Amino acid sequence: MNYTYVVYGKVQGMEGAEDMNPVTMRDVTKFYGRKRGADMVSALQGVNLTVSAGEFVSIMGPSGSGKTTLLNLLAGLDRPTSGTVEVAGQRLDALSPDAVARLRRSRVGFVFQDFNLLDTLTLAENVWLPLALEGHKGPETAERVSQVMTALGVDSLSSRYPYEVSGGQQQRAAVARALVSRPALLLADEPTGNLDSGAAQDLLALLSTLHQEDHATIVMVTHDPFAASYSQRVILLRDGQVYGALHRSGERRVFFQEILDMLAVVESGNRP
Amino acid sequence: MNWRRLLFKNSRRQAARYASYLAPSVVAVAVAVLFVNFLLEPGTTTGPLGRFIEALLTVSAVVVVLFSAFFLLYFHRLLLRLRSPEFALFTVLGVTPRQIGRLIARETAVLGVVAIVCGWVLGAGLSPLFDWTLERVLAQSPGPWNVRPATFLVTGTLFGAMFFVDALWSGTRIRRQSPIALFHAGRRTQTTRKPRPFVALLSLAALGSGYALVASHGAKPPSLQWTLGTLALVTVATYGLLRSGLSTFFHWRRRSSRSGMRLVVGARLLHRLSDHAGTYTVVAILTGMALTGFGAAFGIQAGTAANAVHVDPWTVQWVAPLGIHEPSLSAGKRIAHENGLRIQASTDISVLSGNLWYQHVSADRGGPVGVTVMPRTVFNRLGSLLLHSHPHLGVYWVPVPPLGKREAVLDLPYPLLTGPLPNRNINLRVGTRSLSLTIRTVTQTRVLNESAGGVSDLLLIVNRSTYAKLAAQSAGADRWSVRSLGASPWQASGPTVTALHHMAAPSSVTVTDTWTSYRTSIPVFASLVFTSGFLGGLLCLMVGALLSLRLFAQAQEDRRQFRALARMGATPSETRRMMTAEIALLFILPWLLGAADSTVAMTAFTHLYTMTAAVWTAFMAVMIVYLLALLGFFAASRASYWRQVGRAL
Repeated sequence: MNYTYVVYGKVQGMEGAEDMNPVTMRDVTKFYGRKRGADMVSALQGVNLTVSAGEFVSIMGPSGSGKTTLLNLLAGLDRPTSGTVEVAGQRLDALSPDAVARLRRSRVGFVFQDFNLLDTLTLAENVWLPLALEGHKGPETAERVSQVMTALGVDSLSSRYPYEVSGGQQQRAAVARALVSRPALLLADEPTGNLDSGAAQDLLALLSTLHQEDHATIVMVTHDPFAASYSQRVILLRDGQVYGALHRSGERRVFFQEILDMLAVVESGNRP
Repeated sequence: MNWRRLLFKNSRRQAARYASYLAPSVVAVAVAVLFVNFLLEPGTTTGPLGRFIEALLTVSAVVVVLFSAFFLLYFHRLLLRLRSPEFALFTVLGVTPRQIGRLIARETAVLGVVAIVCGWVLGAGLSPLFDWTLERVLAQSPGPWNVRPATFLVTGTLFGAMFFVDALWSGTRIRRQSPIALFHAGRRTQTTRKPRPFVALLSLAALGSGYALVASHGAKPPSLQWTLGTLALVTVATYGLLRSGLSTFFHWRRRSSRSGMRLVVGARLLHRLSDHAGTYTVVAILTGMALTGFGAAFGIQAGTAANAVHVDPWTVQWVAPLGIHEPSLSAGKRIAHENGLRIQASTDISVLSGNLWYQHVSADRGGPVGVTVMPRTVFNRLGSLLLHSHPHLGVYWVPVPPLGKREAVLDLPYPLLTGPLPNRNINLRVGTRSLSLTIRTVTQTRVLNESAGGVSDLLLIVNRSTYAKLAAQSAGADRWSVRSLGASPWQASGPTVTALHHMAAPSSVTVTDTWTSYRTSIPVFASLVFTSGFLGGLLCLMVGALLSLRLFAQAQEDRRQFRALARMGATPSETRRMMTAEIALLFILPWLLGAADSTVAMTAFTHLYTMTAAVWTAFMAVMIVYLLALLGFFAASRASYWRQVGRAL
């Protein structure tokens, strides 16, 4: 696939702040349920995480390990019980809900497992939504939407409604929506979970291209080792804690094998 | 394209959802317009409809407004729940909670304005029809066919305030929810309820107790506390039974081997019980109220003629102080004959008027009260003559057995309006003669027409010798002549009655008759039917809309499940059958429960109102009409739902 449109020339709003990490989590814990109650569930315990600019990180772990909770905290959709989360240099706990929403609008793109496109709007209108929110309009905005959709291969479907296209095409449109406002950070929650293997590979190749050519910072939650092998670094969560990490140093296939080996160790209960 | 245009397009393409909220809102405003307009008509308060109807319609207007408020809030909550994922997505894309809150508040305000304006238009459009119906049903014209400006002001203010509060409240509520909570609100996680046979049995016992309590209520109107208490008991028991009873039932059904689709239906319903139990309970209670109210009113109306005969059993009766001879009984017979009536019974009797008070009871409870004294033999003869004309009065008729010298029977034809007797020992004074008597028994038979001139329709029946002694010492003013005719058909007795009224007009003769009683009671009973029918129709509409909205709230989840079933090999027709069974249960089960509730309530009602055959027939008709209306809703919802959900297959 040939993506000609550069989504990330520079990380928007990050000029002069190259040293700043897009994501920093310090000693983050998250509990659900009543405090000290019998039904209190610990989702994350003392998690520390840093994602550098232009890095592609995968978060892996078994079900209930806290992957989605971690992603929700990064997106400011949820608040940690303790610890701090910084996104694009701003501590989320110090911001009001409105300020968090504004930060998300300008700096964060989010891709869901189940796409979350509005059935009532066409694919182009769905992609247009974040720009419309920021008050962009006119031919320039239309051009920008068109370019992103072209880059993601869904420009010919721009006037279709989500239920009129396939799951893979919906997910491409969802990625276009996440990228159109040129965010500092792209968060993806099991983006290939609802796709067949062909569409999943296409999407992963697309994310990889975005990362390699456009230096996009991506944090992707997945339980699929194949999907994770497209990233630079894999962080493994277990029982709400960082269990281990793997850095890719060579071929993707080799990295894929390393991930499988680490998962085998995790399943055996030993520390890598 | 900007944000507002996108929002507008998004809203426009959700028109069906908004319509399900707007339609009941518009109807609620329109109904309020009609009622308020009628109440504001000067003819309602000062005209011949009387204070009873005014009070009835005022209470009804309050009920309409209260129910409207409840339903509008409930519907809006459901609508917002359906749209929660959309709000969550907006939040993820960076719309601030404050913007979301403002968006919802503005949207609610716009919907409110649209509902009020459309409701005004609909109400004004229906106003001529409403007035025409009133004129036909109540035989009264309440006024010109236009809506008064004050009606717009009152309904606009009322509903405006309602929508304003709703807008603020809904906006604040959604604004305070986290995006995660909003995502989950649309597909609320539910857990399959465990079987709870003990709670189910307890609820069943509570419901049975509530029913027994209501059904065994005596011939006295219930107090407000008693009514609210039993209503609360039945509501709680119904909820418990639906929640725990159905879960127990479906678990039991799952244990026995079932075919695939039945298993799926049972599992799905079991999964949704937490949601459905509340809706079922609300709908069942509302259905019960609508059926009971309309059934009772329709039953009374159907029994208007029979009731007129009960209240004024003699086709025409004229009462005068003894010694006034016009019109004579033979003159009355002649007039009746000339007007084509067939005389079935005639009597010319004399009675005494006196005063009665209870011994050892304070004056405010013990009397004295006016009473008509009559010998036992005359009472029994009048009764048997009346039975000859109106056999159905046999349900009230109890012949008085021979009485002792100091014994009497009190004939109390309106037991609902009086409390229990203070005691059975009374003093009776007729003229200068006073007697101490013991009331042997109390009957409810009318042998004199109601308000029969100078004599009371509260009768004291004594034996012949006691009556003779009283008559001997009575003054002329205490002795009355009562002449009565029983004629057929009494419905055609209007001209006879008018002629006798003319003959009696110059003298101190009072004429009473069945025909006038019937004509007078028609507007009262018909207004009861009209009002309760109106409210019943409104409740039925609300119930149908509520069930439809509840159904569509699960469309997204159903689409996913049906798609999964299709992947496993379920054919569309199998899926449709399964969906039909579920929707039928959603619509029919609350009706069954409401019908059971109202049947028990009607059983209690027939203790107060003895025209059982007429009441039951009318009640059955109301139940069938209500069921047909719900089946209409069911058919429309099923077709529409399948169009929406089946699209995924």
